[in-house]
Amino acid sequence: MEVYIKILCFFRKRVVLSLIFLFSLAYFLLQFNALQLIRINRKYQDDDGEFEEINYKRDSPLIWRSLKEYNLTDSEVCKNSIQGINLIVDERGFLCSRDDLKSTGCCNIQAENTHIYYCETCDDVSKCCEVYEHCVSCCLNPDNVPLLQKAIAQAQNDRQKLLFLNVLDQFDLCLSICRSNSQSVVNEHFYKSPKKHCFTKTEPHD
Amino acid sequence: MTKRKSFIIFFIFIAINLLNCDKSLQQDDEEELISANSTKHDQRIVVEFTTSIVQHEYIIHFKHYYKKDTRRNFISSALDNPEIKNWTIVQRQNPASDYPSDFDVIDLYEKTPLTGLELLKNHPLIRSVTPQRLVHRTLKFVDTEQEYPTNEVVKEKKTEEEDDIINYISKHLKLDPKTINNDCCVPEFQNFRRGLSSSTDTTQQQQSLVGNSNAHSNRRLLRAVPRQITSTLKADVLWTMGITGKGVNVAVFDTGLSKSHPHFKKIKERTNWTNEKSLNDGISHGTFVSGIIGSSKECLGFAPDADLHIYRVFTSNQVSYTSWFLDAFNYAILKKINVINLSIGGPDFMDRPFVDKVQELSANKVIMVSAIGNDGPLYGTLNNPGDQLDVIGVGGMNFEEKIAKFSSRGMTTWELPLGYGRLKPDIVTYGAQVKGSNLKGGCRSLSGTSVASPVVAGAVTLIISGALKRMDYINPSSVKQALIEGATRLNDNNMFEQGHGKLNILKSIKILSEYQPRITLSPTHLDMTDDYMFPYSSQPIYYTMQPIIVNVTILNGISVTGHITEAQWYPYMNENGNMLNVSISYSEILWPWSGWMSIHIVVNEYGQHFEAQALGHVSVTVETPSPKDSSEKINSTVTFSIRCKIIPKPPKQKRILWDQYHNLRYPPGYLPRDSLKIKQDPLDWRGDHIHTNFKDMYTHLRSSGYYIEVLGEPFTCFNASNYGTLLMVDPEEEYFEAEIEKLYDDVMNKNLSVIIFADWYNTTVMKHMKFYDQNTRQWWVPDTGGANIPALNELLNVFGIEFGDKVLEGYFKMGEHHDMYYASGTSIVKFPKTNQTVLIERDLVDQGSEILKHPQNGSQQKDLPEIDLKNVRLKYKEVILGMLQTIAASNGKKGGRIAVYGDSNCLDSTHMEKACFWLLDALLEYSMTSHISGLLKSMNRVQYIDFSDKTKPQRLLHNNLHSYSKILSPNDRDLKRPVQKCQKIMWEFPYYLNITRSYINEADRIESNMI
Repeated sequence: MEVYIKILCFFRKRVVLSLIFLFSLAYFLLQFNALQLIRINRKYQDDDGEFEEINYKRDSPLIWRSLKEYNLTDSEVCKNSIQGINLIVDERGFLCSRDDLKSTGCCNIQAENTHIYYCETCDDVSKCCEVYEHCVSCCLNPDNVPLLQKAIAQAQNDRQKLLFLNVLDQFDLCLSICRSNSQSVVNEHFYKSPKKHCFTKTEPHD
Repeated sequence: MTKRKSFIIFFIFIAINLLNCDKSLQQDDEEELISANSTKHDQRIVVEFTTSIVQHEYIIHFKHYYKKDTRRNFISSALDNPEIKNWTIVQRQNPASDYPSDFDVIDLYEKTPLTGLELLKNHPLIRSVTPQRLVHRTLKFVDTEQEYPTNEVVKEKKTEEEDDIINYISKHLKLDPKTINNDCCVPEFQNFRRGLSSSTDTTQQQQSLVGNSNAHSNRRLLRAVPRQITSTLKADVLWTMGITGKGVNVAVFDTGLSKSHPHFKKIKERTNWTNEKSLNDGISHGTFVSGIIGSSKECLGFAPDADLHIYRVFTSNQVSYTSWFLDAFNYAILKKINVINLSIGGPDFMDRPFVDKVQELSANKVIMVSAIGNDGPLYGTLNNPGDQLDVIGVGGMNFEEKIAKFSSRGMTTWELPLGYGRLKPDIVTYGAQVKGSNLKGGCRSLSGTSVASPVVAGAVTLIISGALKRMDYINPSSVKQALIEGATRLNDNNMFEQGHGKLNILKSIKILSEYQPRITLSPTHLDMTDDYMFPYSSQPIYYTMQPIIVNVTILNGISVTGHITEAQWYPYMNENGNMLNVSISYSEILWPWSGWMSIHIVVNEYGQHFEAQALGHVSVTVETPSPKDSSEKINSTVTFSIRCKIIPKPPKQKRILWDQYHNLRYPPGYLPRDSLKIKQDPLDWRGDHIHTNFKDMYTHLRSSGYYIEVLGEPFTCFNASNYGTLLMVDPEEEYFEAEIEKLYDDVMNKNLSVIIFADWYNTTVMKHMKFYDQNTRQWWVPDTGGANIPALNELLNVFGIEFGDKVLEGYFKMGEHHDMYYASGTSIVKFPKTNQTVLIERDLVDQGSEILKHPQNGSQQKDLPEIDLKNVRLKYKEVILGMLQTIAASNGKKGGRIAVYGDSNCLDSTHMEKACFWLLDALLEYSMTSHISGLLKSMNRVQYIDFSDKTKPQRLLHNNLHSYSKILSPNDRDLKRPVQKCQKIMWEFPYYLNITRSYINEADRIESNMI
């Protein structure tokens, strides 16, 4: 009996209570942050006039680059940007010429023209770049994580939110956010600017 | 910001014919007969398979693939035993028997002990010997209401071709034979609302159709039962092998799909990219298209087990924006979609953000399948994105194995005026009266390339699902290669109508299952003696002719990127190859998975007196990074063989030069239609080329014996002494000063004649045609009229000829036999009156002022109240035709002749009402020989015509022609650029080969067998 009372008293101590509270708060914040607050909750009207509710939310937290260790050795296998005519970015943020791409999918970091977090054609302020691969490489810099988090939190419409909800990690996010999109065009037929690959939040658009 | 804008970006290819399911396939009386009295009962089909061993027949399975004769040798050597005499190889008469195979069926009669079998099994190159099985597949209609005792409708032995392919594929795809279950994967048929109402009806029907009840009528009856498109194209053969689309992500970009639609098994995800709050299909287009791909009930789709991703990018009002597409496409890349169907398109191939995005998807290995458009049978009507290098563009055909009338066709117009268009569509398939899912379940028939596109997309999905183990080899080009190499050529259509032919799923999956990454070309070769190669086959080439150009698409199945390192010309020494000069130019980079090469061909002086065929080939080496390790390079060489028809140079009186250089088309600017009566088609977008919307005129001139060449450069770039007539029809471009001077000199001193068919121009009407384009959220004002009359007046000023600013319309007769329609044309307001001048006038309506009376209406112009006006329409006498013999003022010497007519509609197949090829003939007779036909002479009114108080048009202020004109300065609409330099073609060095024709034919034969 005394044991129970002791345990009860232990839990009534302020220190313990506040510890529990802080732990819960920390956990909550972590989760909150990881989920980036975005979710889509939409009601769509059916043909028969009935409402169908659709919820989109993230299955697992977005993996940011700072959380994942990347050693710079050549042993690993990389995802990369696949599409380029000549330039390729690997998931570590290295930009290289296709000739310097190894069979692992990683850039050869010894090659002369391989750069990390390369922002050559990017605008410092707007974070918009002329070359898609520059945008992705630049975006992968862990320093940009707060900026990207902000961009996600401020996603303007369902189309953007859907995209952000489905990215697995920062590499996925950078690949997707850098693509020219509804915000890159004016009058539907022209690019607003040659710097059409951006990794910040952009203007809303219907 | 410039205002070079498009009209409606994307049209959904709404089907031409909406038919009730029960009355579909009207062409087929048999089917209609049956359906007429068969709608009362619900029926379903039960499919059963039975197999039985065939006595004495054995399948000999070899370890590798051998040709027929080799296989026979193996078998006879294995059976080289005096005891075994009674054996024969069962002949397989099917297209596959030409190819190496790994099995044979033999008839072997022997009593036990089976020594022969043992001997065969022991042969080192024979893998196994198994008894032949006879497979019966039975389709049964079961009346679901009454559950009659099932009545057997069809008993069909699988064709040997199917067997061959099944064997081949199962071996190559390394399917476990146990999974080849004959009935595991046939989709369920339920509530099959069609067919035969009862068993007695069936028999009667059968008899009445066949006439002889004893005849083996199964096939006939099967045809009488409206077949599923999937079985017509033999997708069901793959289903029986367990290939059903499983594991492939296929996306439909369309009008959405209802979640609970009864036909679909696996809707993986539905997303909405429009501004409407709905995921459902409001207009049934999306449902139908999705059904063709993935329906598993009633009207079956090709890949019932594929993961369907529904992207709703069109609203229920068919509104869509480029920006919606961009976001949706980005999401598709992220979701690793394998195949996208785009039953959409529009004429604006200059929508850079959209075109770039489609390429980006291709670069990410997404296979894009798109409808080629419903603007046929006119040429030059290809729609974007189906016309892109990297996209599989699909045309439609009907069940009579001909290209459907609606299917867009003809070359691309991107390359005009200097180049020549690409071959498109890539492939065709059934697109007329195809059955597919209806909005809430049930089926309906639709037609359109919207229908043909998902047939190919579904087939591609199915094919890929059979080759999942070879996913590394699957990319937009390897799939396109498999489709076009497997396609069956149609007999009656040329390559610009049918592309590489009709989709053949079984052949294509076979090609893909043994695919080795490679570079191929489309078209594969040039043969001017082959009608399939129209228009190349329609006119031989000769010395001094403008170069003919072949635009070859390079398909790179090896890597997303690559470049050409070498391109060489190999004329065949003994086959007059030395008579040709060839020049090869190509895209710097092949990306994504594709590129282009353009081959210019002319006859050189060695061929100037010959009538001959000249042969040779172009060889191209492409360097690509290795798919395994990009630092390694792969060099592939591919050849393009050329066979040209050469004739001696025709006399200049037979040679016409077609001015392409001054024809402009939408995009890049708002170039309005030539006939203002036609309202649903506001733009002039078909290229105005002799092989696009002037193809009928071209064919007519060819049959009249003329030779027509195309000038893609300024007038300063041709030698006038080669030509009898320069033909200008509906020109929208301006003219360099140097051109104006050169043309005057050519006419006066080199006896060149000019024929011009002009069109309307009136600034008030143009301003009135302004409208707000919803798609680009901008006001649009035309940059010229139907033709650029102010520019033409500048060109003709030296000859004293001017066109007016009235827009005229009307029906009239010329002579007794020629009904004419003047569809929004101009009139002649100034013309020199000499004693040889002919001027013809007719009574016409002032269409311009009628249009102006009608209030402007926002984005669209309302129909004119034509019926009311017909009775009271005032007509005016206007000069429509003028013929002039030029005479030099200085010495009185005769120059060339000039003939002008005020409207181009009667030569242009676009919305043509009445052709006036006879008039063109008469004018050509005049321009070439100075003979005036009796008919035209009899209508001459030159002495009664008074040109005073006529006005000519001024250019529309603030027009934007300069922003895309080749002649005006881009910064100043009143300034012309310095004259464009003439292109200097660098001819390739000839590497002569000592090849003779017999060898070539042999090589061709071998090559065609290799496929």
